[in-house]
Amino acid sequence: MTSPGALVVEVDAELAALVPGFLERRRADAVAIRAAAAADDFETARSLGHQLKGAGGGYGFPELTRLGAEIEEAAKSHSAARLAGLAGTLSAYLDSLQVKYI
Amino acid sequence: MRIALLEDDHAQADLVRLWLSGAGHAVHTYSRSRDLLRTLARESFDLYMLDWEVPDMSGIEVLGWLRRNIAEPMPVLFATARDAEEDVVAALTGGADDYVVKPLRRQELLARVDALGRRARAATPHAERLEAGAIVIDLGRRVVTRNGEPVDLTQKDFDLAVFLFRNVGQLVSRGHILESVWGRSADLNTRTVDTHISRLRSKLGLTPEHGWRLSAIYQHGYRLEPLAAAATSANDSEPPRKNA
Repeated sequence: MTSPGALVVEVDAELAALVPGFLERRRADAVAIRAAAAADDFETARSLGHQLKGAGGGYGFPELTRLGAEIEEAAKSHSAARLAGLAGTLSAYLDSLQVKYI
Repeated sequence: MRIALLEDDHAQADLVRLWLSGAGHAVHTYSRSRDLLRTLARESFDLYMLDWEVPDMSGIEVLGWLRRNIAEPMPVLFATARDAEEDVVAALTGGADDYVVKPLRRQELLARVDALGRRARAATPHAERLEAGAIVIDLGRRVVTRNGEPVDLTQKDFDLAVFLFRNVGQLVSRGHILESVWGRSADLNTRTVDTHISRLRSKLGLTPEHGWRLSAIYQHGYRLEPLAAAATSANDSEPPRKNA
């Protein structure tokens, strides 16, 4: 059943065994990006954004690829405030996500 | 195909392995470049799939190493989130055969992998018959003749003969042979390969007096060569690596 306010994303059922772990790691990424921004560790943030950009769409989450690209760019321009904001956006997206396997 | 995947992102590696395995490929994943390069001292693959950003040594450096040190022209597919034109050009001019930008798409990836395999096989005989001197392999009828006489082979011996004659001159690891002939899920050890190789050498006359050399390469695998080619590497007891 869909929760009120949930963002439903349809994902290939073949990926059902992989998706929960994938999303769990992305939650950890959001925390790590926020911490990297606070420490001005832009290389760590860039690398995490780069990986997110590369992996999101393949799993059926193009929004994660888009956010990953933004995080990578923010890190390259050494914008800690923007990184912190994007980490928040990433967390909020993950919290609102409801996966429907098709 | 037997594919070596260099990918440090476990989520990405899991996804690619799922897709490629589902299409019948055997995928061996390495999250560190140096682990892959160490493995190449004793293993061989049909295709390498490389990520660019890997912590210990970049994919582009691995590509350079492969092209400098592996004699066989194995296909290399770059799969990376780096989408700048100069990156694509650098990889292709550095020796990559194809370049795909992440996020990956399943059907496209499978099609690219198949295309690379097809091109690689185009360099080797892939007709209904393989002819090599006195030995003729009829793939359709699954019959091998030597000097016109049928040779009595088991099903696995036949498959092994086909694999070796499709890879003449190339060093193939025992693991590569095992997976290609017996399949990915075969619960066998590499001694099985040695036993069958020995039997095939005897049955097909793959010996110098018959114009062939089927060499065991210590801790690696085997290489089948016609004797003229073998003579040029008669002292070669190492894998065909130029600088390793």
